[in-house]
Amino acid sequence: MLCDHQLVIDHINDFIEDKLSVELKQQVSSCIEQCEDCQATYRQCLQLYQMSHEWQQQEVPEWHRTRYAVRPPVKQNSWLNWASMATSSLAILMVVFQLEVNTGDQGLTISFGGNQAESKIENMVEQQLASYKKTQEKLFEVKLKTALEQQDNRTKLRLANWIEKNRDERQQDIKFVMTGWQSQRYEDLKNVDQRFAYLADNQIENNQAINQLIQSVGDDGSEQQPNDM
Amino acid sequence: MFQLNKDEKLIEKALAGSQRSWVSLVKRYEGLVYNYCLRMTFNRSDAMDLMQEVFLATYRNLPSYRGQNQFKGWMMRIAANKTTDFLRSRGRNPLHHAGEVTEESYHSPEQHHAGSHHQDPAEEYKMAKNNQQIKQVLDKLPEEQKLVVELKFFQHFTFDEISHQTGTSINTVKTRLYAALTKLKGYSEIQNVM
Repeated sequence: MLCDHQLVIDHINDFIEDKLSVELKQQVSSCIEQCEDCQATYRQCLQLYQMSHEWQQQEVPEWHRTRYAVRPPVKQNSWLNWASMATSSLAILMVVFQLEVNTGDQGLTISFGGNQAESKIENMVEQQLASYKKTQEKLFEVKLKTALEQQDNRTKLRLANWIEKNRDERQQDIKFVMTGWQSQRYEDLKNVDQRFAYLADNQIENNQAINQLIQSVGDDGSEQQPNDM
Repeated sequence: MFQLNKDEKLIEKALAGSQRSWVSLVKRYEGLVYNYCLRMTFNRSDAMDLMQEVFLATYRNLPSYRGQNQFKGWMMRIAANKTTDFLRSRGRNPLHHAGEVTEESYHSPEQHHAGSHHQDPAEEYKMAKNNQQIKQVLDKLPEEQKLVVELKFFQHFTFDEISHQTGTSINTVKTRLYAALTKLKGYSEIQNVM
């Protein structure tokens, strides 16, 4: 007869404790009676089973059972729980009904539905745009003023350079004219001197000629006057 | 059923922060775990350390306990894992400590304190000797086989539960048990010859 060792292994503990059904108990018992291996298994299991009951339970030495294990409970007062719940509920209701609380020129206003928020947002956008416009205008003015000042400075600087350059040119021209004029004057004076010298020479010659003429006339008179006398 | 319901209530209260409930829960199972650790480590100090690690891990994992299984089985799974880690991390060979433990178990003041107050010295000696013999027998087995024997014969778990606790298949558990029985058979024969 072939023995089902697995059957014995599976049910040996229940067999020892007499917990098997009659049919299963007969099968296991039959295996144990007829198979040496199963007998050995049974004997070892029985020995271990008895050993487990012979074990003298050792008492646990005293130890700190909550040293690392238990966190101290978080105690909250009941009123705090109610207050937190009421606050949470109020917050949820405020969100659901779109409660809005605003402060403006008209004072504190409370509204539901979220319309006030839109108009407020539009006003805020307009204010922001106006503020942005003003800022841009100021910025533009400042930039324009700066550009004009820079242009003016550049023009002045260029004019000063041109004047300076022009003055030098005029001085050079005047020097040139003066030099020409002086040379011309020198030439003229030289011509005048020559003419005066020529005239003087002529005058001298004329005087000499006159004197000679006078002398010659005198000589002729003296010769004729005695006769006339 | 009453036991299970009581466990569930204690766990629920412990999770809510009740120290008293946690202590009650620990006290229900610390003897079981301590003796299990003692048989697995052969050393009182190691058993104490291991037991504390088991309960610490149990507490930390308590929020993940769904209550679908018995708390004992769930906790013993943690104990099995912790035992395996403990023995591996220390690189411990229990063979070298069997003798020490035997001496310790005879002369330790804890032993005297530990539950033998109402017995006469002869009875006390006999019980201590029984424990010593059990330790010597278990000491002959490799860790995984010893774990299966422990869970099967001392904790009375089914193969399915042992498989779940050790994270191995049922066939592996049975194979290990059969190997352990074969090994112990050889040891018994040698003892008988001697």
